[in-house]
Amino acid sequence: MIRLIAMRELRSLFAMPSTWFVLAVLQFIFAWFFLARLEAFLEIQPQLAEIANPPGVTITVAAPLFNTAALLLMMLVPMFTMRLIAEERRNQTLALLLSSPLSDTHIVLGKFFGLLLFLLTLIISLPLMIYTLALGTHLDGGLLLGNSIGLVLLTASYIALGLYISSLTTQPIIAAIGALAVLAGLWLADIGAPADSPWHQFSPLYHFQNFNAGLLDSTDTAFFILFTAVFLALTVKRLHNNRIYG
Amino acid sequence: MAIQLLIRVYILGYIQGCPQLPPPLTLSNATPQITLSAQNLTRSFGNQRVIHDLTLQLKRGEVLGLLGPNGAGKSTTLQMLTGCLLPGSGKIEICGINLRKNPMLAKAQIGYLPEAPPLYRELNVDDYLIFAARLRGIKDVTEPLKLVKQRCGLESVSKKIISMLSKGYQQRVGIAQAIIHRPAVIVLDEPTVGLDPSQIRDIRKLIRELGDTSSVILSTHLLNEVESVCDRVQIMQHGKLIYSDSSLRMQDYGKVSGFLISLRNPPALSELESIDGVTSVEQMTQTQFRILHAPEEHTGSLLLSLAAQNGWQLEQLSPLHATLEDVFVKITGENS
Repeated sequence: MIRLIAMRELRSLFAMPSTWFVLAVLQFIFAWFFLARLEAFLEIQPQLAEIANPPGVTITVAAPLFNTAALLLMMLVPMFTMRLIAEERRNQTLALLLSSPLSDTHIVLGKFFGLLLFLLTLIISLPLMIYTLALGTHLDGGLLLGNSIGLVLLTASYIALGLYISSLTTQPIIAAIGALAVLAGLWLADIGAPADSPWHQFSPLYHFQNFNAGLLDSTDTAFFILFTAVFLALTVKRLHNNRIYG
Repeated sequence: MAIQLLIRVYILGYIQGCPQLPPPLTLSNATPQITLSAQNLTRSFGNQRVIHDLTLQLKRGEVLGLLGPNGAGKSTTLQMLTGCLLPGSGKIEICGINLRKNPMLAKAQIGYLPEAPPLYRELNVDDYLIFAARLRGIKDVTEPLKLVKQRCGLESVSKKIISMLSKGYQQRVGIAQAIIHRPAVIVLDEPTVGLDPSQIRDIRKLIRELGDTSSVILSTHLLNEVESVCDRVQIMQHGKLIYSDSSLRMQDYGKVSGFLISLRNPPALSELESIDGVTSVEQMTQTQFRILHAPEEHTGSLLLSLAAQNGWQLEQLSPLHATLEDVFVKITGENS
């Protein structure tokens, strides 16, 4: 059942021209940024060669690319999550799901995995793009893997938050702005707080930084899993309350 | 012989779609099976109670019309029956399965068309119907899909995107998703709203057919819909059931005795009023009158003979019928 709902979500996404447009524009931005970083690296490569232990191509090209993608996704994911429940409610298609033999958990997980799968197709282009460099140089596979895992976990947490906010309202646009506001708020709390402030701990982007540096830290992984699980559970609760309070 | 009977019972059970098979045939099984029963449902939104102590039952092969003015609580009731809303108190059973305790099993027996058909407009008709069937746990969808498209007249549009379809076709797709899994209980919330007369006729015919194999409950505020498709009527007002009977007997409820009479050479109004048994006369046009008389009087034959004797030149004499509309107004008026 979860797979059925996830597949329906994907089918609907790919049936809309706007999805393809967003995919194309994002690929273009990623590619542009990748080429710009690569060009900068090639320019300073002679100077780098003179340093004793020079930074490699992976850390100078790939890491910033992933970091940019993480920021872009923060603004982009709410555009996709806004539809998930708010629009179903507005178009009254939610009644079909609510009157079908499914539990609320099925509905929420189906929608979550559907969108995650879609965004994975977007994210996968990043390591692929960088992997083309392996033709001419040696790449740091560990750093690349750490970044990829981190980005997937980060996206999952964004989707869970967006899904929850989408379940609170009937207006997709309010769901989008709401999710963006919360995510931007968490990000600003991170970059604005002093170095030893506890505020950093709340920000998904802060926890991504270790992954970005190629460090797989169980604290960060646990944070993402908890963050995602909490918001998914809240969404299930919200759907249940929907039946109680109407 | 016994084996044959058993097989027939199994096939019947399959066709009718209830999970439990009826016990081996005895005479008592010939009585209609109850597919939906709701007892003492109540529901409040905030402090406002919108449904008061509602009890209803539906037998297999029965079409029940839930009638009522706007805001009477029809849609809320149907939402509760399909599990979209939880009742404040009370019990709902679908084919004997408690909806609250065992929602997955019970909901597999329900097909629901809400007020606005729940369509994913970006999908094509086939994909959408397949999704709807799989949601209800149907594994092999080819046969049910073919059947339901044929029943709802959707063969010609099966590859079209739903948002491109006309309102009538969208409504048909909405009905198709509600019946594709052959549910025991079909719940339709105002199924003919916004359709043109020929589409309304088609859909009513379809509902009548559905009523042969499943139980159908439909809400409407159109009285002729009840007259033409429903076996039984329940009228709701302010969240209460105020009337419940067969739709034919509902017409008897507000029966009036009287005639519509046209005379080319009419006498004075007072002359008509003085006829035995006549209670009131209303002049509609120059030559037409509406005469009400006391029941059990032979006013009709008296009028005929008087018209012949006095040369009133009778053109038309037709008994007055109570329309469902009159009855409805009468019943809801009595209770408000």
